Amino acid sequence: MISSLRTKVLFLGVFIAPSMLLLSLLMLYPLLNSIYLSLTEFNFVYSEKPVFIGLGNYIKLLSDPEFWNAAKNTLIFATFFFILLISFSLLVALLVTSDLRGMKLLRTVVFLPIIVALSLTGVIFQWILNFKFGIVNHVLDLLHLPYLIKNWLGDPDVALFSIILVSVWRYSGIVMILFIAGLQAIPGDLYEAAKIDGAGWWHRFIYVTIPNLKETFIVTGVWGIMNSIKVFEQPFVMAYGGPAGATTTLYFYSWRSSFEFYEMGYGSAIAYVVALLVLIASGLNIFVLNRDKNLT
Amino acid sequence: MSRFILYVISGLIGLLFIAPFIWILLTSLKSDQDIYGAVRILPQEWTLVQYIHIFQGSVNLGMYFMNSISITAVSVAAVVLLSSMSGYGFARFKFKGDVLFIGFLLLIMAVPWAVYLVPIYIMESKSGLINTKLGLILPYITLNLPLAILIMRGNYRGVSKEIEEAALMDGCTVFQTWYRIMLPIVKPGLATVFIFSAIQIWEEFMFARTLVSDNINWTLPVGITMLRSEAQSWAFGTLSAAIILSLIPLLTVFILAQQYFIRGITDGAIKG
Repeated sequence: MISSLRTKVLFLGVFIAPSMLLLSLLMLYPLLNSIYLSLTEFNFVYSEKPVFIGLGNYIKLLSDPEFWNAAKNTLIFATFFFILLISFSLLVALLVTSDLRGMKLLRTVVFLPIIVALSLTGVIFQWILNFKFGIVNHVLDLLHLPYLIKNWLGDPDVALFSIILVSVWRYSGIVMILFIAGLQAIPGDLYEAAKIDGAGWWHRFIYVTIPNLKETFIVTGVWGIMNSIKVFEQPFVMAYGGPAGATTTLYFYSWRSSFEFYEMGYGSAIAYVVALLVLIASGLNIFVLNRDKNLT
Repeated sequence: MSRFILYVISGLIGLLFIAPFIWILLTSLKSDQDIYGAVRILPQEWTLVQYIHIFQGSVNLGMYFMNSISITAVSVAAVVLLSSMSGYGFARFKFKGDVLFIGFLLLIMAVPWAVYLVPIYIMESKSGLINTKLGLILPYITLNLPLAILIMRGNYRGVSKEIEEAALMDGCTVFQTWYRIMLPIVKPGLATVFIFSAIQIWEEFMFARTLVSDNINWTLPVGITMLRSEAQSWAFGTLSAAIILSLIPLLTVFILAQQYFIRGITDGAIKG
């Protein structure tokens, strides 16, 4: 059909070339350029141009206490956020797909935070969690739970966990939608058959629902991992990495190195560490779940 | 009994998710004395004074709002146009290395945005694009284009080839076939791309915060967070009003097209 040389040229030139040109210039070139930058020492304010230092930045990372602090925070954030996000979203998705009434409303309400920019979520919760004027401490006071009143964003032991909970609020709706799609794709006969075999609610969940959600677990898992590791706006807006570095994550540390200290080479190296972590964790997630599927 | 417990759980979850919106709305309807007195849930006296601050122009919110609107409009229009064209190209045209292109798109999407930011910042500093709207629009287009192309490619592939062949037989040119026949069929795909990229761009913070330091071109997320840093703790009333106003565009789209929101999420997550 579409075969003549003229149409081929037309297709390439008019339909594909503009996108590819833009993508090469603004994505491919930066991607390659930042690999090179990560191998250089380049202070954007003081240096004339990048100086090649090989793996120097990556070696420097290993003995940089701030890097290890950021790595530790990223690991804590990613672990707790990921577990909470997946389990809580699945719980809500199960409620929404049940035959309870008013569940459409629940779905809408849980999904609604998507209209709030992540950075503005930060501002909103700074106010909600405000030590003196915030509603959370006020409600805890009203409920006579004074030992739960915390300086949510000002206490180094608490701040990271506050940010985790805020992130769960912001992201659950999206993962819930993915789980709902997965749950609705499970054939109803499977549940009927399990019921006839005398399986209770819990057994149906373990032996029918969970195994049939494997594809969904891959999708939500990869999505969750990417957003666990790339946490940036929440610590930036809510605490600027503080107090005392307690919410400095790798992504934030990378940005700070590049655009507060203008160490473009070092910042790029950290950004590549983040990229590598995302790729490894996502790959691992897919590998583990796919291997399981082959066994069953 | 167990149903009752499930209703209680659902109600609590719903309350926890809606409460932040209500608290911000209530804060925006209080006076400053009310906000920084003893904490009360409802305003002592309902007032629009915080909104009046904004509309009197004591803060530059109107400007940030217009910046966000124009930057989002141009970027989204470009993403929709470019993806509707190249998506068609990739769906219907075999050429050497097209698999390579798809792999390239997937790779671009997998890499965190921070990796692109440093080289783009350096490039824009050298070419004078830093601090301009165009300097934000260009990366916004290309950051959202790969997923948009994949979504559109999928949509075009779902259309049966016979429709196109009939159009070509009838003497339509390739361009006419695309414009008159194909585009109307893939409208749901266009809507998905539109909403997905509109959310991404309207809410984007890192690039907007980094590439624009001059407040004339700040977008809403940057402007509001900057106001918060300047104001430290006294301006949460005005900030709340600003946040409520900033939610209106996406809330409108949300109410009008929730199903496309949902499609955007599922398509986006599965292909991303």
